Formats: sequence, C-alpha cells, structure tokens
Amino acid sequence: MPELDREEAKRAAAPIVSLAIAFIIGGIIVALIGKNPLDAYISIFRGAFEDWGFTLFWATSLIFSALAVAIAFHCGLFNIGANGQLMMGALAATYFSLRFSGVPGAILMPTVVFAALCAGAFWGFIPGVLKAKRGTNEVVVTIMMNYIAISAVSYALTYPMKDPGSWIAQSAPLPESLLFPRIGNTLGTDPMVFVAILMAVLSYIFLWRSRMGYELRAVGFNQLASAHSGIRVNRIITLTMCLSGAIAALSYFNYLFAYQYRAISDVLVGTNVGFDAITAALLANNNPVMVLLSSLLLAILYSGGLTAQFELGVPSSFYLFLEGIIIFSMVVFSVILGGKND
Amino acid sequence: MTVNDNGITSTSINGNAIEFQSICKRFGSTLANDKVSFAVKAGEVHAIVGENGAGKTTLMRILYGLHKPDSGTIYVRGKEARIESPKDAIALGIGMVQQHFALIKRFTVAENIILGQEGSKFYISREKGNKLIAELSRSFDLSVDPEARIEELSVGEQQRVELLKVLYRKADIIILDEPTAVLTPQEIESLYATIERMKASGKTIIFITHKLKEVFRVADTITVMRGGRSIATMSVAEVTPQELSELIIGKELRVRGEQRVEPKNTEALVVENLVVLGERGNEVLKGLNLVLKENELLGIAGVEGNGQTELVEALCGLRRAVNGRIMLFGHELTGTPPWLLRSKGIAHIPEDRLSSGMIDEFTVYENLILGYQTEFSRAGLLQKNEIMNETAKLMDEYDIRPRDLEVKMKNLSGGNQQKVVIARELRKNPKVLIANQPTRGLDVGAALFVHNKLLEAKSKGSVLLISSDLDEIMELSDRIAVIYEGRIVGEFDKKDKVEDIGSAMLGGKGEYA
Amino acid sequence: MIDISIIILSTLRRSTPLIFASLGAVYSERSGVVNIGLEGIMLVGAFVSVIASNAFGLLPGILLAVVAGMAVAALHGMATITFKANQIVSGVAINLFGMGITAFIPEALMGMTDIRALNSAPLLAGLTPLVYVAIALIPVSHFLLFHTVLGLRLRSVGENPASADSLGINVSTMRYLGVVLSGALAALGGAYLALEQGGGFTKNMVAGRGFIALAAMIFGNWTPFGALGASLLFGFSDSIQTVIQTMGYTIPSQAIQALPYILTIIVLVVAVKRVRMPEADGKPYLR
Repeated sequence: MPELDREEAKRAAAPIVSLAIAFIIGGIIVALIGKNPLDAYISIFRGAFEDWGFTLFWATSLIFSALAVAIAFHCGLFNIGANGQLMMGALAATYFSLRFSGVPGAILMPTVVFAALCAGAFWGFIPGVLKAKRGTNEVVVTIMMNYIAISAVSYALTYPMKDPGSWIAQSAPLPESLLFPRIGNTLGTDPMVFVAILMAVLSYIFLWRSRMGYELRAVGFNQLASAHSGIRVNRIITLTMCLSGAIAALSYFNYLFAYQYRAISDVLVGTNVGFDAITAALLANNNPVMVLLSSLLLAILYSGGLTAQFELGVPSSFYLFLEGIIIFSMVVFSVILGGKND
Repeated sequence: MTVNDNGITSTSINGNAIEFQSICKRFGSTLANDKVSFAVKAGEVHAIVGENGAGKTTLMRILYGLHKPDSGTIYVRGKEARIESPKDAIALGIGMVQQHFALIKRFTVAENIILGQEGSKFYISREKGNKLIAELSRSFDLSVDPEARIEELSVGEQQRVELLKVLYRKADIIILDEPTAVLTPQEIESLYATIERMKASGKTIIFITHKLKEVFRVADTITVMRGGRSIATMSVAEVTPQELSELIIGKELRVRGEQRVEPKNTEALVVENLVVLGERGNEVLKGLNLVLKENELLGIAGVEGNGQTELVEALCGLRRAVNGRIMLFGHELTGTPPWLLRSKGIAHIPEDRLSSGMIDEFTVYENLILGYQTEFSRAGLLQKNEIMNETAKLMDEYDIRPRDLEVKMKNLSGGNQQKVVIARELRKNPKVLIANQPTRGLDVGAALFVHNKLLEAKSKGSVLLISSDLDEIMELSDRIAVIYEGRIVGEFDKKDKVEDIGSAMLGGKGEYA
Repeated sequence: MIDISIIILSTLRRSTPLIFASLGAVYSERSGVVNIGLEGIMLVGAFVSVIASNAFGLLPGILLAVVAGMAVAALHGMATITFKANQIVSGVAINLFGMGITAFIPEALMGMTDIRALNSAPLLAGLTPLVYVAIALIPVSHFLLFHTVLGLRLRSVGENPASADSLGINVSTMRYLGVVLSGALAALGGAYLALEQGGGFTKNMVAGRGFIALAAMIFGNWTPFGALGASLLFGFSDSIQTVIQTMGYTIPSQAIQALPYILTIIVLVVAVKRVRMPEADGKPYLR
C-alpha cells in the first residue's frame, strides 16, 4: 500500500527534519554570540570524533536510560525517573562491592549487577505498583522518586558509606577485582559498551518477538481491550516499570567501574542522563535499535560540545539548549508531517 | 396528541425551522452522511429514525457545529447558516442534548448550566444563578437542586440538567440524541411530558431514536435515515409501524442458514441468582437467573442500561459477582479470571469493538492472536510462522480485506474489523460464545455475515446474544429472555408476539416463567 | 535558644518561590495542561530578572522576568495545545531549554556563570515585597478561580473540554491562559530567588524547586490555599533544618530534604479520594 509507506516515511523523516531545524536555530544562536556556526559544528563533530572514547563512554550511559524510557513508553508509561533508578543502581552496586570486597571478582560482579538491577527495579516498582493498584500518576511519582534518590545517595555517601580519608562525599575506592578492563586503556572501551548494544538488541527482540513484549505493547495501546482479552494489565504495568528501572540502573556502571572507580555523590546527584534519555528515546521513536543511534548522536553533541567550548568558547551548555530545541521541533514536526504525536 | 396533519404549521412564517440540503460527511472510508436533504418545520416534534450507523448523530453534530460537513448547506429559519462551532449554533438558538451527556462531573448543576453564558462579565453570583435556574425548572417542571454536584445525580436527573442547559440558552430548536436509551420507564414518561411542554411553548424539537414506539408516541413528523441517506420524511399520521420498520430496515434480503440445529437438553451455561454491583456501588444485577442449553442461541432482549453490560462483564470475569454463581457444564466458573476463562471455552465478542475488542494500532495478525498469545509462543517467544499461517487461513476463511497480514487494524473498515474479532473468537470453537451487540454499526452485508457466523457457532456450541436490536434477536434466537432492571423478567419462544416481548422490556407484566 | 520569629521569617522566605510556582501550576493544571517545565521557567525568570534589573532597575527587571516566563510558557502552550504534543515531553524540553539558555548566555557573552544583582529590594518588616505579593495572590487566585466567569471557564476546560467546547467556550484560549499565567508566576518565583534571596543569578540556582512546587500543588489538592499551605509546610521543613542542627540533634539534612517528596507520594496514595486532579488534566483536546 503506497499510502501507508508514505505515512511511515513521514514518521521516519520527523527526527531528521527536527535535527536539521535544531541545528539551524542552534547555528543562529552561535552566530548571535559572534562565533562562526560552521566552525562550531565542525569543532563539535571533530572533537567528538577525536575524543571518541569519551563519546562512546557517554553514549553507553545514555543507551541504558533511553532503553528504560522507550520500553516503559511502549506500555503507555512515562518513566521520567531514570535518574533516580540509575542513582539507586549505582549506590547498590557500590555498597555490595565494598561490603564484600574480599569475595573473588567472578562471584562478586554478578552479585553486584544483581543488586543494582534489584535496586533499580525496586525504584521502578513503587511508581509501577501505585499506578497499577491505585491509578497514581507515574510521572509525578517518578519525579518524587528522583529526589528521594538524591537524598538517599547524598546521605549514604556523606555518612555511612563515605571514604573516611576523603574531603568530599564519596565512597572508598572500589575493589580492584571488580574494575573493568579497557581496550588500550581508552575510556569508552569497557565491557559496558557491548552490554549496552546487546541490551538494545535484546530489548528489540523482547518488544516485538516475545509474549510479554506483545502483552506490554497491547496494554500500552489499549488497556481495556487487553483486559478483555485476559491480559493481566496491572501485572504488566508493574513488571514493565520494574524492568525499566532495572535497565536504567546499569547506566552508571561504566562510571563506577571503568572511570572513577568509586561513587562520588556530586556526580550521581547531578546527573541529567535520565532526562537526556527522554530526548534520545523520542528521537528514536522508542525503537530500541534506533536508541543506539540517537544516544550516540546526543553523546557526540555533548562530547564535541566540550571541545567547542575549549576551542571556540561556545559554552558547553549549548548542548542542553540544543536538546530542548530538538524535542520541540520533534513534537511540532511529527504533527506537521502527519505522524503520531505521542 | 396534537398532530399536524399534512405538516402544516402556523407557528412560523416560513414554516421551516431547519432545512438540510445535500449534506455530505465522510469519516475515513465511511460515508456517514450522503446527500442528506429534508426540512424540519417550526414548532413540531420531528423524529429522525434509523438503525445504528444510519448517520443520525453525525447529521445532528453537524447541525450543532461539532462536525463540519464536507459539502451541503443548512438553512436555519429560511436563512443560510454557517455553523462553524457550537457557539454559532447557540447564537442561532439551537441546543443539543447529546447521547453521552456533556456535563462536568465535579461542577454543580448551576455551574454546568450557566457555563459560557454566565450573565455577567466578571463576578458570578451564586444566588442569582440559583434563582434563575429555579425559575426555569419550575416553568418546565424539571426539578433539580442547583447546588448539587453532577456526580451525585442519577442519569435521569443529569438529563434534566442537560435540558435546562439548553433551555437556559433560550434555544428554540432543541436536538435530543437518543434521549431515552438510558432512562427508566418513569423517567421516559416524564421526558415525554417535558417534550410536550417545550412544544407547547413554541419550541421545535428534533428527536433521534431507533425505537418505533417512541416515534408514534411523541413525534409529529418522521424522517427515516438509512446508510447515511435520508430516505423519506412524512407525517406520523401517514404511516403505520409496519411500513416504518420496513423503511428503516430496507427491503434487503435477510436470509439465514436454512436448517438450524435444534438445541439439546444439556445445560451449557447456568447463571444462578447473580448479583453484581455497578460503577457507583449500586446493585445492577439483582439476582439474575439464566440457563443456556447446548446448541442453543439465547437472545437477551432489553432496553439498554438494564444490566446487559454488567452481565457480560460478570460472565467474562471482568466484574466480580457479589452473590450467586456461574456454571459451565456443571463446573463452577464464578470468580474465574478472564485469562483462564478462555481456556475453559468461553469466547466473547465485546459490545464496543474499538475500545475493548481490538487494538487499532496493532496489525491484523497481532489482533488475531490477542488473548491467545500464549498458545502461539514457546519459551516466551512468539512463533511468527505459526501466527502468519493461521492468520492467512483465517483471512481467507472470513474474507477479510484487504488481504494483507501486516495491515494495521485501524486501516480496516468496521465490517472487516468485526470479522477479525469474530474470527479470533470462533477459531477455537468455543463452548459458549457471548456476543454483545455484534452487528452494531455494521452495514447490511456485514451484519448478515455476522448472523450466519453466530448460527454456525451455535451449531458447534452455544451462543448468548445480547442485542438492543429486537429484530435481530427475533430472527436468530431459539429462545428469548428479557432483561429488565437487573433481572430476567420473562422468557419467550420465537413464536411469541413481539408486542409481549416489547412490553416485558419496558417492565410490563410479561408472562413470568 | 530559638527565636520563633526567625523561624517564621525564614519559613516565609523559603516558601515564597514555592508559593509562586505552585500557584502557577494550579492555573496551568486547572486548565488541563501539566507543566513540569516550571523548573526551567523559574530559571529563565531568575536569569532575566537579574540581567534586566541591573540594566533598568528593580521593578522593570521583575516585569521583564514575568514577560520572559510567559514567553517560555507560551512555547509549552504551542507544543501542547496547538500541536497536541505530549505535555510531559514538552515540559522536559522546557527544562532542558531553560537550563541550557540560562547557562549559555552568561558564559558566552560575559564569560561567567554567575551574575550579581546590583539592586536589592527594600525590606518591609523583615521581608521583601514579593513575599507579600505571593501571599496576597492566594486569595485573589481563589476568588478568580472559584467566583468569576473566567475561573469557571478555565476550570471547565480542565475538567471536560468537550463539554466546554459544546457550550461555545474556546478551549485553546483558556488553556493558553492557564499555561501563560503559570509561566508568569513561575518566573516571579525565579525572580524572587535571584533578586531577593540569592543576590544574583547562579547556574542552576532553582535546584529542583520547580518540582517541589509541583509537589506542593498536588499536596494542596490543586487549590490556591492548598498550594499555600503545602508551600509553607515545605518551606518550614527546609528552614528548621538549620535550627535542628544548631540544637545539636543529628537528623541528617537529607532526610528533611526528602520529606516533601515522600509526603506527596503518601498523600497521593492514601488520600486518593480527597485529592483529585482535574479530570482532563494532561490530556490534549481533540474535537
């Protein structure tokens, strides 16, 4: 059916058009502060390419959170609590790593991963179960959970888990046995990159090939029809939020085990990855495989933005601003182009 | 009753309150209004009758500015009118009571009535509003407490608020869309009285219905709509109920499967003393008893809102039974959750296909396994080959068009969507099929197809058919049970008279079995 | 020894930005638009108020901040009302945009992230004028929302836009009004933070208050007086932190910081029946 193809094509065009518009508006702003927009963009992309390790590192964190957002979205749920979930995941991972530091890495690492998954899942479970059982708006609850996580992380790293020898709120160094290897000692080549890619592929298979993925999407489109067909809607909603939280919980593993080798309160508490993830998921139209691309693109803008700041004095906050414009043009253009607007 | 013979009225110079000329309106692939033309005379009660999906509501929504016609002209009191929004309609003195009330549940009666015409620029005086509404209530005998919140009111009271809203705006052309569908007989009587009173005060009333009885009770003039077209306009005096029903249904062939399987004596489904609560915690089913035999098609007739929806939901495990039990071939089913009921052999064609029978963003093949996804998956993964093979088979068998396995459900016509739902539900030859309004909104051909499939299902199991279309029930059923206020109040044979069934539906005596 | 009046003054100071922003949220959500972009709008308000007041004086500075807040909110309105975009997505974009632009401009043009305010507001009984404005706006808003034509219409589109539409009320106009008002009020909250509390603009200075304001609005059951009460409660819990520490108790400050959020979740769960959001809140209106 040619008509349907056109609809699909339009939907696919929305991110590209939006990016173009955002780059143009961004360029105008750069010109307004007296810099050459072309130089700025060249600097961004060259910088991101030259510092590819950092770009990949940043993309990795983003992929996990963006997958979390995308999966929840297919179930009609808006998880804007990836920040909180990733913080709790990192905190749990740090706690277990330090508590059982004597245990061999081969045993400890799986335990640590499991602990992080559980912590993230629990942080997703609360909004999920409240949505399922009481109809509480998951957006509001996930926002609140973000701030509760901030308090929890800040407390834990200021008092019980603080490195006594340190001036700032941070944990003791993580045990050697758990640290991730890196190829040629370059940032961004730790195993989490591959885990992230694998996770995206698995998420794709899960959503479109598995029974639960089918049920999850059914609930996302039409709860009433799903309930009529015998799908346990409340269970699916709760499980989806748990799953989403668990995936988000892995976002800062590369930070912990391949970069800073400890949990630093200010870094975790100040994260914006959970919100960048919304941009990434939106750009990818919530397709897990496309999330790889959109996360990489945002990581390029972020990482290259730092170069542009250094080289040209274009502030790195340009990145946040550009992100806002990208989202706006996305929502406007997906309507103008006749795609769906949710 | 004051009937305007030959349709001559003296209340207006021109005579016509409204005239439709060649109104067309298309929604996607369906032509909802197809060159509709007729006139409504001033001061009359004008009934627009037709089956579900005949285009009555669409036309009225156009008149009230809620839809824009694709083409055609509307004349109001002889002058061409451009009605772009309800605001324009209100300014022209047109008011509408929609079938689904447009009331704000958390607002008070007074707030709902004055909204949009508050009577001042800035400050709202409660006392002033209440006084105005009290006066209005008195003059049309529509008593309601202006300070009450809408969510505290009964359906009948809510309708009164809707009427007051229209009267408050001084509308003299009043549209009532299926106003009796949700009312109790007493409420219906008082509505009739209100209509009389409004007419006496010189208002023109357009009354949408698909119930013949009402037409002859309150209308002066009738317009029949069928398949989006206006078929005929006549005075009530000119037509008999039989002629009218022929006009409404059309003379299309209504051939059914010739040889019908006779019901066996085995009891397939037994419902005993079922009590179920409604949304507001009131008893909606008040001890309902029902027996469905093997190879039987039992029709449940009744005015909408007498517990049909709740009965179906209870049978499908979607609503808890407070009391009583449900048995399938002697095994208790009460309290069985929906995901288990399917495996026990209960299938369900839901009342509202779009909201509860299908997922319009899913493809046809995804819809065909909805509820049976476990059967089509191994180790948690969907078996796409099996699904596709089954889909291809079913699409051929049910002649679902376009024959594209991956087309999205929303791109199918209503009839084809319903075929998908029925194919899914009948695929496993259910022991009991619950079909709730299975032909609602379908064209004649599609309805015929559905009817034949129901008869086929009956020959393999048994069918419980719930329908507000009495003709459909009479055609298909082996036995007819009438539901009224949460109970089965009468059982009839297909040879019984329609009049008796009708009177039982309205709470009349009805031979109690 | 604790001086009660110090706690009261401190509570009022810390509550004021929350009162403004949560009252803004009341207007927006009563009209049916969820605005989680309050945080970003507050930042823009804070930033513009400092820049503009340094250039033109205190009052014009505040007025320009309000205008800027309204403009950013109108962007949210355009996305969600005209283009029927998901309100949460648009709100996230507003926050990113607000954070980005208020960090970008000072860095790019002045080479710094913090800007000092040159003018300071006069004190009236220990408090700056905006505190009184915030409190005065509460009864005014209550009257406006519940006793006037405008309020009735604004609430009607948040409860049942189809019904309001069928009575000739322009749903979009009313929703724009709600959203733009929320922008004006959130910007006032930001201006207060920067001019009267902080003495200038620092990067990301709103620090989550936009989200606390959202919590206060929910906690206050979508009403002006409720929002006031919740804002005062949250401001109070914020201001006794220091007192508790000086008294030698060892309640970690993080526990008190988390309190508003925990309380809001509890209220949402426990008082479901009493706490009710407008029926059509968060839903784009398609005729």
